[in-house]
Amino acid sequence: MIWLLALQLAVGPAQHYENAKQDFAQRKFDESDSEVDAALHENPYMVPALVLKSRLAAFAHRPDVAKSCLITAITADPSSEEAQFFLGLFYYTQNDFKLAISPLQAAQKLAPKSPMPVFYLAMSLDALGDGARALQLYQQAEDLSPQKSPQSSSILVAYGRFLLLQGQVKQSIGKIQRAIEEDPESRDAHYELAKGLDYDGDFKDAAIEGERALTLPELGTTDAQIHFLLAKVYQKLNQPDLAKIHLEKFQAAPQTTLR
Amino acid sequence: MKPVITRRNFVAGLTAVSAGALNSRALQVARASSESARLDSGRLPAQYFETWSAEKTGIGWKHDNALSPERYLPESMGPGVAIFDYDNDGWMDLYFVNSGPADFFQPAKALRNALYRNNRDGTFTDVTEKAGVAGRDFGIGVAAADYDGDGWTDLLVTTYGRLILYRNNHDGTFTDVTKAAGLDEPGLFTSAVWFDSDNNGLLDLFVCHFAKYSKLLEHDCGTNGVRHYCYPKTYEPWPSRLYKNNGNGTFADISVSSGIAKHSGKAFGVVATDINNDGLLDLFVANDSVANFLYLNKGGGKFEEIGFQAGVAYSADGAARSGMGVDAIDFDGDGRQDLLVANISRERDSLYRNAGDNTFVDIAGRTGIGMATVMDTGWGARFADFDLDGRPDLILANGHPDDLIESINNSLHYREPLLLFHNNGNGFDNVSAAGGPAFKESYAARGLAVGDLDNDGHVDVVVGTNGGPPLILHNIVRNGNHWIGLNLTGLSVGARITWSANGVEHGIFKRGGGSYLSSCDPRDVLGLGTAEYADWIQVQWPAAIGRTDRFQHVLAGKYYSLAPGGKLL
Repeated sequence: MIWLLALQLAVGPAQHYENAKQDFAQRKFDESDSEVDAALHENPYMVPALVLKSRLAAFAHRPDVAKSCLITAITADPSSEEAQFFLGLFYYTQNDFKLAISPLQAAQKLAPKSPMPVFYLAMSLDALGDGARALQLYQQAEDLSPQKSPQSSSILVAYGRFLLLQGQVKQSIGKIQRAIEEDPESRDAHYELAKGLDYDGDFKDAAIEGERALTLPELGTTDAQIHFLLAKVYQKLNQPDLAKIHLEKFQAAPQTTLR
Repeated sequence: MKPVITRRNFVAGLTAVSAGALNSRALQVARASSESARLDSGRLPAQYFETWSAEKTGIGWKHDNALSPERYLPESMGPGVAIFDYDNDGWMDLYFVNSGPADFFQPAKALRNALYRNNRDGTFTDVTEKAGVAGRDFGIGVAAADYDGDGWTDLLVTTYGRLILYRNNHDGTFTDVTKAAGLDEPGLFTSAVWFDSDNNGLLDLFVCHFAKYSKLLEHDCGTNGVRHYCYPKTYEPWPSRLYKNNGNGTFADISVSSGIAKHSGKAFGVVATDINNDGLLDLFVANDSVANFLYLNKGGGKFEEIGFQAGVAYSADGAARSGMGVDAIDFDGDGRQDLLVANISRERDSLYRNAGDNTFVDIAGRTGIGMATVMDTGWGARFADFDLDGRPDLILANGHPDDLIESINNSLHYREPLLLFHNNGNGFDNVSAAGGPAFKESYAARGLAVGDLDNDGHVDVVVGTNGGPPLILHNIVRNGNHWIGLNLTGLSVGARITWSANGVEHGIFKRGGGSYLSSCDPRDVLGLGTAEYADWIQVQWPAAIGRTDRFQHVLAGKYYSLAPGGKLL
């Protein structure tokens, strides 16, 4: 009987975790949370479940819970690339870039072929002002990322944005154009390309890209950002009516700040 | 041209790399060293500044930031500093602004601003009481100028409370003439600039006003029960003020008629310059958490706000930044005034290159200033030629406004290092590692002023620190470069000074204000490089004076005074 109970316990949390994963993928977060809690009730140190719990907590704006789960996961299994990566990602999203570096480096060592730890390392170092190392890591992330995927497109967009901030306009445009090739429906990519073209003095094409970005679903880049850019570009194209329309739309949106 | 790496550059780079354990600053310095070697043939100074201690200078004054558990906003703002010659003895004196009584603060013992007379030997004597410039309200900033044209420099002190105008009595004392002048205005005032807004030959006054503020409007911006300074977005923006000098000791508030009051901001820094070379002084205002303002002077006492059209209002993504200090200079020698804004950490400072058509392009990234400032919060900011090569370098005073920032963010620090950039003629190199001992420390720095404290022709720096003593940085660059000092008497803001040395032409446009809460030495030091004389010097006086004076073969190594139409004395 004891062996039967042990078997049930072993199977139980795994099944709950699988259910939680499926619910999470279908964006059924409440159900996913219940299942993952059930899994962790039976096995409090089940690393994949702890990582999933942390992701659910982050969605629920409970950073304390998210962090606690990830630290428990890493304590239970320091060799979990997933736990290390998500702890780094957690710190990154909290703007704690210095703290993000160590777990991201650990994840990078554990999964040297994975582009995501390298990518977030690049963005963390970028945020910390270490441009030289960020540049190397963005390139490394690009090299590691699979071709023709939204993931590689996102990496190229961030890489291009970084290059534009460094004043490397042509190189930036090249990366963003490749991002669009890999994901033609990326609003971020079309917007960043419009920005690069604006810097480069190609206002006509900047307007085309900006208008294209406006037609794509809003995920990262907001309408207000695009209206701001288009207002500038149409002003430079000496099209004051269009500039005015976009400026008014930009001004009608809640003003954003970087902080 | 092959890069030339001198032993000094090599050692500096090596030291930076080893000491900094490959951190970002070290790598930038290492790179900067090699680039500078190429551009300056090894003439980059090994050390720019030494620190003059309080023991050496006799400056015992310290800023009291009135830090309270409630974290009232004005506590985090000051102090400003002024470098000016109050007694006309030809030596720069120092003025420091302190906090004082306010609706949220009643000091246990009286606080006061401080005026220190320059003893001409590197020491200073506190003459505040005799001079009668101790202040009264919660002091924040200062702007020095001879507003009444009597040849003696007066002082405007900005406060949370009421403005203070001290008129110089020519005998080492000042009289508070605020009420009689019509400037007895309440508010939360920060930086101010004296400039001739309408080319009538009189200095008018622009005063930055931060948000609508009182103790009752303060918020509880806490984390886990601990209050932090609020992000300024929580306060209501408010218009700044423009006062017209009536020429009889009084001022008229023309904020509304001039168009200034049409725009509510949260103004921290202001500089008066001429962005389109039309002979009218424009105003660039850095705002915190709302768009920056660029007031284009249309003449006739009217201003048009063109920040958005000019491309200086927002970040490239349309986000308002937290602008604090500002400055304006033609850093690239194209004859057009460029603009700088020191922003809060993660926002990067902005260096706006003037495109010549009333628009600007932020080239902070390309010049290296963007990445070098990404982690720092900039306040005081000033271009000055610290190595006398004829090109303006840049110094930045940094420090996060929230003294508790480290409890909520591991990547940011309350005290931050100063930053120093060398203008290499094609951009800027981060030479902070060669700045001197002070650049290895961190400060809650705010106001910053530059000036020549010992009349040796090398530009020194004074930094005000929030809740601490001032920092005096004495320029010790001795690279064989020569200089000429020029003291333009009378109305000089808006003058254009050009000179040639070794056949190379340089120029300075005399802007008004700039930096943060502070006032700089009104004299100009012209860097000549290795030349022992200037081929020629030309002064195009402001439009109200409308004349140009030119002098040939001017010997280096001394200060000259010049009045319009006069001789170099």
